[in-house]
Amino acid sequence: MLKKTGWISFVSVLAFFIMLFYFGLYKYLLAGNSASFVLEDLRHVAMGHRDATLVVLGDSTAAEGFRPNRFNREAIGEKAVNLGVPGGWLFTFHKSHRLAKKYMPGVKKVVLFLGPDNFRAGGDRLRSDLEYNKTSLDLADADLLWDYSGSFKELCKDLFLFTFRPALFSRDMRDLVENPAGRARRFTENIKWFNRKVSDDDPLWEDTRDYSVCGTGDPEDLPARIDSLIRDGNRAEAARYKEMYDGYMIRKGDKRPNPFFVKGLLKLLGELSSQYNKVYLLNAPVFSGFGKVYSPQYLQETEIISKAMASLFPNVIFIEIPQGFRDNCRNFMDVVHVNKTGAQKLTDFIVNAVAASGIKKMVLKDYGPRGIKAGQAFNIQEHGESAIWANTENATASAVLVLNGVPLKSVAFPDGCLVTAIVPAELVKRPGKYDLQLMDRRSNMKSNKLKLTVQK
Amino acid sequence: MPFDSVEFLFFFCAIFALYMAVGLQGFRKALLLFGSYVFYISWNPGFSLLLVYSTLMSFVLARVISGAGASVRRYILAFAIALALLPLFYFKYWEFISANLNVLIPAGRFKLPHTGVLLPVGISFFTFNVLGYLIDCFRGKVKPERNLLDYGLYVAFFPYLVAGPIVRAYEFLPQLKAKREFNPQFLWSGMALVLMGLFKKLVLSDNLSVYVNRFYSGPGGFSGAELLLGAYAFTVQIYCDFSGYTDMARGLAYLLGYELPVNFNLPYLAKNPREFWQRWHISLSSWLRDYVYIPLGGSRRGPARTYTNLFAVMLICGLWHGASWHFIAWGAYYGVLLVLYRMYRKAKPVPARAASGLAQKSKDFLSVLLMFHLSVAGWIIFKADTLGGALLYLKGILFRTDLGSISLLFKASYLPLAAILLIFGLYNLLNLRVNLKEAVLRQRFNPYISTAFLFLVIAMAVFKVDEKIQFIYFRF
Repeated sequence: MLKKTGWISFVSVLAFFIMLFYFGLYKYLLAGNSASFVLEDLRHVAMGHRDATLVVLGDSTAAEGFRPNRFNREAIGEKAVNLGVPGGWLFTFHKSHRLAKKYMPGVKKVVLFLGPDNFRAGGDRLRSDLEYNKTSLDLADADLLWDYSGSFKELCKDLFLFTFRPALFSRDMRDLVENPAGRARRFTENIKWFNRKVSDDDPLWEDTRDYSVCGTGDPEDLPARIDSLIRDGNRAEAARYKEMYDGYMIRKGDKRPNPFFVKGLLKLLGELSSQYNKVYLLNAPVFSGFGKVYSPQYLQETEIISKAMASLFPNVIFIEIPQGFRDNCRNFMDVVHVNKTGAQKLTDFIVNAVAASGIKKMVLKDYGPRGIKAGQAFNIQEHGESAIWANTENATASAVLVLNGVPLKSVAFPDGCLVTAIVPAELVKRPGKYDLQLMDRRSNMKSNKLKLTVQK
Repeated sequence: MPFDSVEFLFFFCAIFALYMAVGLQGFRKALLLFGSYVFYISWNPGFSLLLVYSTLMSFVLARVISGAGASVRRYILAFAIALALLPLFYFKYWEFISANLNVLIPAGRFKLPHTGVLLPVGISFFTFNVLGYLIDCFRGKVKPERNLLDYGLYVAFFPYLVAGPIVRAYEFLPQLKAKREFNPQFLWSGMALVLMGLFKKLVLSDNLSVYVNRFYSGPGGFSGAELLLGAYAFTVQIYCDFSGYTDMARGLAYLLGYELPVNFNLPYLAKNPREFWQRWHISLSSWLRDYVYIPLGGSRRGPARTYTNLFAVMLICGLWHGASWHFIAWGAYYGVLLVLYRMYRKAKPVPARAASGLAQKSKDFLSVLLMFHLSVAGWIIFKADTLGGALLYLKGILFRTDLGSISLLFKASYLPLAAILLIFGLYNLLNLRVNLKEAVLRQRFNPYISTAFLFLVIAMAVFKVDEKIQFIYFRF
C-alpha cells in the first residue's frame, strides 16, 4: 500500500513538472516584466485578433516603434497586430511568425523590423531567445535550433536545453525562490490575465512614452545630471535619463555585422517570402546625434545587407527611412527607440509603403483633346478653365495628372479608367512637346509618360 | 569533457546506447576502449599517446617481470617503475625541480631548462593504476594480463581515467573477464549515484566556490570570522567536488555494469587523523599504504622508523597532489598529525572494549569536532596558492576575529553559504545514525527516493551556477 502511494506521488510530481515545464503551465508563475510574459501575452492577443491581415515582427524597436491602432485607422482594408518582442532575435522572430500563421490565418503581409543590435555578434542570442520562448516551445521548433545554432557544439547545448527544459527556467526559478511572496501575488493576477477575453475590437497595446533625447547633450555626461536630479528629488526624470544612459553604455563600442546573423536572416526571409504575399523589411532608425554608439559605417553596412537581402526576393520590399527622421531628436527617446511622436511617423511610412505596394501599376493610355494651340483655351469648363482628360488603367483614387513636372488639380474616376485635370494657362503658353504622366499622391508611384503636343 | 557538461551527456548516451545494443562481450569492451580514448582525446589529442605509452609499456613489462628469474625481477620492476614515472616526472615535477634548483645555481652558470608543458589531465591517476599493476604482478598478487584489450580498458576506462578512484587491477580485471548480465540493481545504483554526484558538484560545490574564491583571492579585505566561514566553505566544497565526481564515476561504471571502489566514507566524521585518511580519498591512501608505507617497513621496524615512514608517505601524498611547496607543506602537516596521533595512541592505547554512554559520546563528538577543524586548517594550506598565502589566511582568522566581526556573518549575502553549510552539517549528523547513501543505493527503484530525485534534478536546474567551474581534482 505504501509503495503504491509512493508511486502515485512519484507519477503525480513527475506529471506536474512535465505540465509546468513542457506544457506552458509555468506562464502563470512568470514575473510581469519578463520577456516570456510579453510573448505569452502576444500569443493571447494574437488568438483574439484572428482577422489580422498584417503582422509586425522584430525586437523592441518594433514593439515600441510601430503603432498598430494608428496603422489600422490609416491603412484602409488592413489590420495589423504587433508581435515585436523586446530583446528578441532570429529564433523569436521566426517563432512569432509561426504564431501568427497558427492563430491569424488571414495574415498576408509581414513587416520585419531589424534593430541595429540584431546584426552584431556577441552573446548567445539563441540561448536568450530560447529563454524568452521557454513557456511556448514545442517539438516543431526543434528545426529552428539547427538553423540558428552557431556551431555543432552550440547545437548540442541548445538541444540539451530544449529537451531538459528546467535548465531554461533556472534564472526565473532562482528569482521565484528569492521572491516567493511577490510571485504568489503575480500568480493570481496571471491567471486572470491569461484567461481574459480578447476581442477583435479591443485596442492594441502602444507605448505611450513621448519624452525625447533633445537637450540630452553628450550621453557620457548623463551620470552627473542624474545625480543632480536625484538630489533635487526629481526621481522620475532621473530614472528616464538612467534608462537612456544604461542603454547607451550597453550599446557603446565598435561593432561589425555578424555573418552568422546574415545567414540566419536569409533563412528567415526565405520562409517569410514563401509564406506571405508581401514582406516589408526596414532597418529601425537610429538617432544620428549619438554617433559613438553606432558608427555611420556600421549603419551603412547593415543597410546594404538589408537591401541586398530584400533584392533577392521578389516580394520583399525594403522601406527607406529618410535621413531627416534620423536627424530629428524629437523622434527618439533613446539612441534606437522612437518615442510616441517618432513611432507615429514611422508607422505612417509603413502605411504608405503598404499602400504603394498594394497599387497595381498605373498606365496612361491616351489623352485628349488633341490639337491644343499655344496660349488658347481648350475644352473649356464651367469657370472658363481648360481641361484635359486621360484614358488610364489602374488609376488610384489619389492619382493626379502631372504635366511637365507640375501636378494638376485632377479627378480620378472610381473605375480607374479615366482621370480629368484642369490645366493652368501658363503651362500651355508656348508650343512644344510636354511630358504627361499619372502620379499617385500617396505613394508617389508614377505611370508611363506620354507627350502632350502644344501647337503654334 | 567533464562529467557535468552537455558534451559528456551526449557522449555517454551514445556509448550507452551502443553498449546496450551490442551483444558480444568483446565488441562491448572494444567500444568502451574506443569511447575511453575519444573521451581522453577530447581534453588534448596529443596526450592520448601518453596513455598508449603507459598501457603498452606496462603490459609488456608486467609479462617480462612475471617470467623473469628471481635475481633480476626486482631490477626489471625498478626499471618498469622508472619508465612509468618518467612522464609524471617530466610533465608534473620537472618545472618545480628545475625552478628550485636554478635558484641554487649561481648566476652566470648553466641553468636547467623550463619545459612550459601542460599537465596531461589524469596523469597522476592512471600512472598510479599502472604502478599498482606492475607491483602486484611482481608480488604475484595478479597474473600478468594476456589480453591487451582488457588491459588497455583497465588503464583507460573513462569513468575513473581523469580523476579516480585509483583502481587495483585485481579488483577490475576480473570484472572485465566476467560475463556482464543486465543488473537492475546496478542500473538503480548507477542513476542514483550520478544524480547525487551531480547535485554535490552543481549545487553545493559550485555555489560554495563563488564565496571561496572571493575570500581566498583577497583575504585582507575580510574579518577573521568571515575568513573562517570561507575556510569552512572550502572544506565542504572540496569534499562535495571530489566525492561528487567519484559518485558520478562510480555511477557511470555501474550503468555499464562495473563496480568501482568507494573513495569517500564521510571523512568529516573522523575522530582522528588516521581515521580521516581511512575515510578520505580511500583509493589513494590505501594505495600509498600498500605500495609505499608497507614496502618501507610500515610499523614493523620500531617507532622511529614508523614515524619516518608515516611522514614520508604523507610527503609523497602532498607531492602527488601537486608540484608546489604548499602541497608538500600540506602533506607534511598531515604527516606530523599522524605521527603525533601515533605517539598519543602509544601512550594511551585504545581500550579493548569500547566505552559507551553519554561521556563517551561527548568525547567522540569533541574528537570529531577537533579533527574537523584540523582538516579545515589543512585545507587552508591546500587552497592557498603559496605558503605565504596560507599563513596570511590563518593569521587573518586568528587575529581578526572579534565580536564585531562575527556580526558580519549575518549579512544577507552569506545566507546561501550558511544554508549549504547547514545542509551539509545536517547530512553528516544524520549519517551518524544510518549511512544514507548506502541506504539509498540498496533501495531499488523506491518511489519515495525517486520523487526526492525529481526534486534534486529541479534543484540542480535552479541553483546551477552560470559560469563553468572545473573539478578541483582535474588539476592532479
